[in-house]
Amino acid sequence: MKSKLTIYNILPLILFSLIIMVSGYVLYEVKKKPSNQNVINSQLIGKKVPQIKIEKLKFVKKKIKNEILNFNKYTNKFYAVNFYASWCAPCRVEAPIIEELSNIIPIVGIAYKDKVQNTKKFLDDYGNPYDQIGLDTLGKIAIEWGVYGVPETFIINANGKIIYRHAGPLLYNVFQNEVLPLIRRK
Amino acid sequence: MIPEIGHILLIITFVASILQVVFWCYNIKKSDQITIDVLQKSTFINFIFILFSFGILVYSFIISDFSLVIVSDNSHTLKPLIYKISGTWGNHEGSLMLWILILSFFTFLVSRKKNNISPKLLPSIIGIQTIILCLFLSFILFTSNPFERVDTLPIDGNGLNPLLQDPGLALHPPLLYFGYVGLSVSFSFAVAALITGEINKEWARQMRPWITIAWSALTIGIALGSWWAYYELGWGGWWFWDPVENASFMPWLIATALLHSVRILEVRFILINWTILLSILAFSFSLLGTFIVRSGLLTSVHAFASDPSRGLFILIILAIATGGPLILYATKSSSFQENKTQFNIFSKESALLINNLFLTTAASTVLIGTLYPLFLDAFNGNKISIGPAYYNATFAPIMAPVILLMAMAPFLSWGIKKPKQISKKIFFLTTITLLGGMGLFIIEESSLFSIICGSLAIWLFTGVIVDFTSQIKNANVNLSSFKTLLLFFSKNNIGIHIAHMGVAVFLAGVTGEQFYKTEFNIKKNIGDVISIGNKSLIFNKVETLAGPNYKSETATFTLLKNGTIISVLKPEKRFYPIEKSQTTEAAILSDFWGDTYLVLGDGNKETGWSIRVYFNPLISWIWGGAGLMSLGGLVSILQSRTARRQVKSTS
Repeated sequence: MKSKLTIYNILPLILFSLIIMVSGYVLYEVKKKPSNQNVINSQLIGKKVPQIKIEKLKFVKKKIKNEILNFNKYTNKFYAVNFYASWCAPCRVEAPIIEELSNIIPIVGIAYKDKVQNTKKFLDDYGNPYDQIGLDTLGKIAIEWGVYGVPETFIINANGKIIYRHAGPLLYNVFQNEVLPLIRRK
Repeated sequence: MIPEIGHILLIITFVASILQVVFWCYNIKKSDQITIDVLQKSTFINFIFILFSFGILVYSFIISDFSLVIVSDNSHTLKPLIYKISGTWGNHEGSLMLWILILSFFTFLVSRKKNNISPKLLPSIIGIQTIILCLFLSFILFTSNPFERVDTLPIDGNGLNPLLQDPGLALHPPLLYFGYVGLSVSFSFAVAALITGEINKEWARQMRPWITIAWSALTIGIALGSWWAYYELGWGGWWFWDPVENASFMPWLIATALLHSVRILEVRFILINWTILLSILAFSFSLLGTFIVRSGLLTSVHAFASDPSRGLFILIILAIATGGPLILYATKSSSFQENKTQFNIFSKESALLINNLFLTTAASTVLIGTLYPLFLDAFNGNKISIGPAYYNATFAPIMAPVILLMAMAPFLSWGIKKPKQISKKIFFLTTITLLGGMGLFIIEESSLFSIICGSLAIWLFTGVIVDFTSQIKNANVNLSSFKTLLLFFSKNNIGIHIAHMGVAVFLAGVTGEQFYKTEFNIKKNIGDVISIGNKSLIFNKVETLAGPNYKSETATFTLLKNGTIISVLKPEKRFYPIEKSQTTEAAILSDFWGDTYLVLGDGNKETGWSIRVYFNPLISWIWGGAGLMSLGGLVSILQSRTARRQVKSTS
């Protein structure tokens, strides 16, 4: 076998290299442009807390039926609402930080699609940081609040307006850099 | 836990395939039984592992495991089961999984052909296939892990883009990928020939069925996509020269050329370099298509899942997978010895070669039309779009001679100088075509181009019929005897006739749709009547209905022809609350001779609704034609298999 390079044999390679180089340049240009994908904010920011009755978790067997959460006690106060579930792994991750937050402002916990037995066990294991706990057995309250998933945390200011929302576990850096400054400003 | 198993399986396969490539490189000069066995067995294991991994992904979609990013982004508990499954490949990561699954499947199939493929070639073919697998596995593992977990557990998924929730589209990507990836086999054949220097008629014979199957899948895949666009997007068109459509059309054109050139190589043992180049190009165009779709360079209806940061990776894959073979081609291609015969102008190979040149030219016009706007945008920020006007001026005139030659090439014989008996056939063809053209001339809406286009369809149609009947006559087939008929079919490749007939039917459909359709865009309220020719449409009512995962506004129209009711049409507008998007469901009444296509636009009871009505004659022939082409490919594979078996049993 004798091999020799002729222009006809190299031509495909040359054309192809040109296409690749130009494509690479186009890609570089595309990447240089700033992405305009904004973080989608919650619709509820700046709005009042959704008016919906939430059944309260009872720790003692009482005969009173359907006791509901009392939001009026937080009038003129900052407070937080935290959606959680005993079956949700990230909720366990954020438990210590929720605990820390509860030392600063009261937190309303809402157990999303959770069994009463399980949520009690969860609170036994990880401690109960909540001022009061609501039950969202059917997930309807989560829809009203526009919750993306559990865990999710909302901060409500003294005027009763939602000022902050965090979807996902509240990790220490978010707590330190975003949540604390908001609360300190009050 | 289960998704992690899938991820680990992928990592193992990645490492194993790297080892396999190293093993092949180390034994590149060897062609003994042990080398082949090792490669064959490891290929089988790769396939099984990827199959399991893919199965786990499908399973995660079925049980709606929202802890996976791609499931929560692309699925929803309320979605019907079939769309949960098809949601697996309706996104970037999943579609890549499907890609490698098909790739490893093809590699496995080709590795089992050790009785047919020369032992010198087989290790290299498997080696090249495995390199491609490695490249794509690294792409998946490093940039697009399908088994990534979410950090927030969502309540319900985001849902699949409602446009994609459609049976036509559930099958479109798998078939298209089957075609794309199938072309990797002929690519590997070509590269293996460049590496080993081993090329002969048997090489071409072994390669042809792989091209044919890929080509058939590609044909039907493209047709399904076009059919989906026609009835789902509500634009009334079937082909938009959209860059993503072009991305699938370019490999198709090259594969069509390859299908014919490999046949010339098989019979005459000429055009070795040309065939090798086409094999490399066909697969490169498939990769280029992937690059265009997945890199985020385009914003089109198809850019459902794209990300610029991944573009670079695909570009690198493209550079390695095509650049490497082209370097080999540049250095090795002049060393192949082929038959030194001159081309006779009236021989079959001349006709096929000329068609080859036209087809590749057509592919390059599509390539220019697709890439030029992108390049222009990057260089000076000008945004232009290249539409049908460009393609009508460049692509269509190039394809016209292709059709002319297509009807004649089957009459011609291999290698001969003087054609026998073709003048009579050509005369017959011309007469029929002229008569047909005159028939078209009588129709009121006809224009010069509609007559040309329609006449070409008639020309090809008649050509196929003439060739088929003369073949039957020459073979002395007794039409009443099943046995002789079967013998005839096993000796003659009627797949060619079916496929060419498909092109004629397709062309007739295009003529009807392009030149003879009527279109209305009007605002009407309930109770109004729209009349077109001898047909009339009565606007009965609009109501709001609820579907499984959407709400819809449904209008009811009664279609009358000459005063009698033919059908009730119900165009819809659907709103999908989860995905917050709206789709139009056109109401289509299809019959053999054409479609009535009705789209409901915006409106309310006070102002009336805007309504679009199309009458598209022969439009279903477009997809019917594509179906015939694909069928022709399959028949041709079956025929060559039976023919080979007969040769074996007699010898």
